[in-house]
Amino acid sequence: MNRATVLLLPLAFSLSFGLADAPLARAACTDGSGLCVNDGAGVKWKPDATLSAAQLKKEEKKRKGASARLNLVIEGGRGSVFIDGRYASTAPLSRYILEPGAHDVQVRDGARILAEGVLTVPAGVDVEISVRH
Amino acid sequence: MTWLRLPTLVLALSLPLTSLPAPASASPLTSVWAAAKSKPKKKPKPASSEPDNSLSAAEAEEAREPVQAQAKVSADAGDHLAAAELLARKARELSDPILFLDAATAYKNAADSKRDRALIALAVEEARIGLDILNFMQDARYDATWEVIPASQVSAESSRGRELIDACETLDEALQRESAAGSGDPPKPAREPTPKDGRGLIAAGSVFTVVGLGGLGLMGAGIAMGVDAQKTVEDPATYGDAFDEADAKGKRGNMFAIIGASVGAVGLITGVTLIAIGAKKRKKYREENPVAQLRLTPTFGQGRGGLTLTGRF
Repeated sequence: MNRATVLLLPLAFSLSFGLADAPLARAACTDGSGLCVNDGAGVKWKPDATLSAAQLKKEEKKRKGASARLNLVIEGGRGSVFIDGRYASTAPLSRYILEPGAHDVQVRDGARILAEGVLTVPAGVDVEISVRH
Repeated sequence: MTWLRLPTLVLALSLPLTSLPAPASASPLTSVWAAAKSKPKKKPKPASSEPDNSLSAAEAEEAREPVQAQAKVSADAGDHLAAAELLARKARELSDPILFLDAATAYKNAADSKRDRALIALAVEEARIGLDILNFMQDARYDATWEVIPASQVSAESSRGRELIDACETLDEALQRESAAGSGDPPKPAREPTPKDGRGLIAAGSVFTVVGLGGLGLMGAGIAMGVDAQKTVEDPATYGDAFDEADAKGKRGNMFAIIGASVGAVGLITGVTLIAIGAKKRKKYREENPVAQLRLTPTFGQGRGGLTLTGRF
């Protein structure tokens, strides 16, 4: 039995019992801001940053190119997502259309803010985000 | 005075020019200018799912009222679920916290009427979304141009949302109790303790008696075998192997008789004793606990037969 087989055996065993499915699919979000960008080339997340009304207007004018698609899950709880000062949806978000550029984002569960900041998405990307509850 | 002629001529020519009415249609020059100023029309952007609900409080109320009226019709007809589904759908379309709370109320009423805990979960979630929005409306990131309800109502609606969640939890506990009471197996009737009426003694005595009778039977068979063998042995014509065989049979018969007698004696004595004690006990028990007496008697008649159960209560 070679070394690769020895290493793969526990994994195969775990998978066969469905034990390793969740950890392999997505690692838990450990970022201090409470939000992790798991997938999406060129996506930037600035925790705690804000966009003023004037900046938002400016951003809206700049938006060009194909929309991005946002997938967002909340680990261990629920919450609603607010984008650019308005209610967007309640998690989970699946292929939520987001214009390219910077967006003011807040995720909250009632009075508790789970994550907030500015999310910048390039045109046409699929963005995978997880938020820790 | 010739020096005055030139300015007078200029004035005379300029006045009619400036006082002329403006042309009705744009001159070729202005058309070109206008064309230069106007930009080519942009292609319309594809619809975005980003929020575009820049409602004022008055506009939001105007949009909300027909939804509430329609939901009320369903609720008044007893269809709380239809009312809840309508309110929840419109709440999402308008991002309206009041409609979310209305949907929660309707789901709670549906849960109450249908006694369905799953609907309570929906009610709680609708109320929570409403509270999410109401809390966000007090945040610095909130877009003030999106005034879906007046700022003065936020606090009152938040209280309503929290009370609604409390009421849902109370209802859920009540339904949980109902479910636990309903799903449990009906309590088994407590098994009546075996009456101490000597039935055990009588049963044991009967067994011993049967065994004793068996022993007596064995004894009888043994004696018979022994007598038969004795006759054979005493016959002068019997000798050799036949004699030995009869002798062995006699011994076997004696052994059976002894064993049978022993078992019979012990069995009968024990059995009869137990039956006697049991019968005495039963008599005493019946005197102390008079119960219904049932009697099963065979009945026969012309062309028929059966059993008759008679009782005295």
